[in-house]
Amino acid sequence: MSETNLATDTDLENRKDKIQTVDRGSISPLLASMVIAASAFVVLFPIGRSQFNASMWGWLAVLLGLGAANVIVPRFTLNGLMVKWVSIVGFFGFMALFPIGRAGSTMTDFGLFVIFGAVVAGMNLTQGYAGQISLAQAAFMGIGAYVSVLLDFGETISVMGFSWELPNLPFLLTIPIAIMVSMMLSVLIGFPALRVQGPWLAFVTLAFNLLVFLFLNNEDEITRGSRGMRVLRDDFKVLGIDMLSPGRFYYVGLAYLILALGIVWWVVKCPWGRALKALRDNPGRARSLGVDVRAYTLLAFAIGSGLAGGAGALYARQVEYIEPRSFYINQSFDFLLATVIGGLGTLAGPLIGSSAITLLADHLRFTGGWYRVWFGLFVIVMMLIAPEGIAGTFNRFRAWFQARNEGA
Amino acid sequence: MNTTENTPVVKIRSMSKRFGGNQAVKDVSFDVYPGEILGVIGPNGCGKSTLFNCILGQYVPDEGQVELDGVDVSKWSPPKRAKMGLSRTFQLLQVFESMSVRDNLKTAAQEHVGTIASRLFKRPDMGLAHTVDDLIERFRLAHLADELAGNLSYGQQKLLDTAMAFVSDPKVVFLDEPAGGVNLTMLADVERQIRDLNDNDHTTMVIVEHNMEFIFRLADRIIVMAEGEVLMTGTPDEVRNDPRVVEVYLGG
Repeated sequence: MSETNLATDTDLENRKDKIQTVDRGSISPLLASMVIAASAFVVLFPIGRSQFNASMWGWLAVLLGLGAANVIVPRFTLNGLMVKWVSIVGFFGFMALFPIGRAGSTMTDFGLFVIFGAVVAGMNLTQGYAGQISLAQAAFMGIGAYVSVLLDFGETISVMGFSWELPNLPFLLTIPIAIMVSMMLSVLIGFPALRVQGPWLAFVTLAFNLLVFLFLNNEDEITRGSRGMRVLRDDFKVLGIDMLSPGRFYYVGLAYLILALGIVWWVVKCPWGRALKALRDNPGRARSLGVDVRAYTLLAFAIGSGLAGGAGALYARQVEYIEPRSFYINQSFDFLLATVIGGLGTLAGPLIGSSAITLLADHLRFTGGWYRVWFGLFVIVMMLIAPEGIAGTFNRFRAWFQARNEGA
Repeated sequence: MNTTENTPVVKIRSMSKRFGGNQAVKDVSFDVYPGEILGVIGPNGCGKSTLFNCILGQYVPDEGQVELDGVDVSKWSPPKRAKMGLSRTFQLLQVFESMSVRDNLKTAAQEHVGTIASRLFKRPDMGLAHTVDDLIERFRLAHLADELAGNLSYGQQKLLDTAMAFVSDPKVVFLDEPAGGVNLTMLADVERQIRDLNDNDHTTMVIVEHNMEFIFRLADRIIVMAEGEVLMTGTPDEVRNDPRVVEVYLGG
């Protein structure tokens, strides 16, 4: 019977070669290295001209560390598992040791970096893995921030003549509540939007972000409107440890970031990962095989939004002041940019993306009003040359090096 | 095989679907009996694929019901119909190209085990390895099990596509042109697989096919469609010798 069998393995090899050549040709390592060189230039350019500060070193370290682990290590080992652990241990080791001897302002920047990292990781789950665009990530962060702050400070608010005594819950307990509230609201708006295939979730979340902003801005009695809320942190303890300094609170953010990345990693690793991949590949076929595309995208969106909600609770403590403006649509677009710059559907992408919108953006502020222009230009050039984002480009690099080493 | 004494597993009742002025399917009714292979033939554009899409929920029919084991499933979504045992392939090849052959089959199998929430807490394998490897062996794809589906040849992808419809042990499998675009040697493979799955697993199948010799060899009964309607139903011999069928195919 075997002579009636299938195509030969040689055929298969030929096809594989062809596919790889096409892949390699579309974005060459040369171009990719130019992108990285260009971004390094953007970072290094102001040396000796203005504030060349620690956050810039941070950004460089994030980028080059991840890049080195992914590109250089395979030349010696070729072992995928080894590369992975070098990247992970190297990065988190760096992050854990970074606060030593750093100024408080630097640690505030880095605190934002890790918190936004978790927000972008959530967005990446929705967009990179479930294939739906959410433009309300800042709104969910805001919801989490306000829920957490209101539940934590034991204030009295009056709504429509009724006086409400708000509870004074411990900070850590408000985080899961913030997550739950964000998840429930995202299910509420995602349910109708995901009934049909298409970009409807993007439209609905855009409108939702506006709605949340208007609510926070106008419901004076609850949120104090545009005056914002000062988040008092005197006597701020987490698990009995004093968290008043930014250098210490940074570790809370880092722990949350690791949790968020762990959740995304698990979702992608468990059977859900296969279903999500299938529904991005071919939703029609996935549905015909029993994959409930709508339920999967809705729940992935809910988890992604929940991660933003919890991050909002941390964000409020980090910056010690929340106002509706912080959670406006422009912030959602920043998160969208971060997701895309980092690399859709990659685990390291959100870290790189978040570093770009916090550390790099902060660093570009020396350009004054031009910083948005430079940043925009950087994104456009990047998308033209490396549409898979920085992490995606690193992955391509690694594959290229591996293929070359195997060939040699 | 004498199937008429059994109660039908699937009943199609007065199915109709219109696209603008084009009546693609017109008042089609038939039964599918357990264990049989039912062929559906007819000239191009006679509504066979539209009929499949109406039965399996890809289209919402203008009229008509689908019953599975006596339960009206007409209002169910395609994933729910799939989970309840109505499986299918499409006329155009549809595999998940960026996934390995093994993962394609696991995807096709995993949604039939547990709930969406429970699948979040399962190990990636979900205990499906045995079922999947067994089917890979039967479809002679073992040497390609870890290959990306996109790297396979057309015929190999076609085999995989067909295997995906069977991996969840469905009640009825609807195959839309399993022999379409497959070369002669591979065709024998496909035929042998279908024969084997019907004989040994007693899987019920409804097969749309243009390759007449192929479907006449396989089917227990054949439905002939023309211009959206059922022209006749009968055994392969009855259909082969019916003057109306010849007229539909040659005279038009």
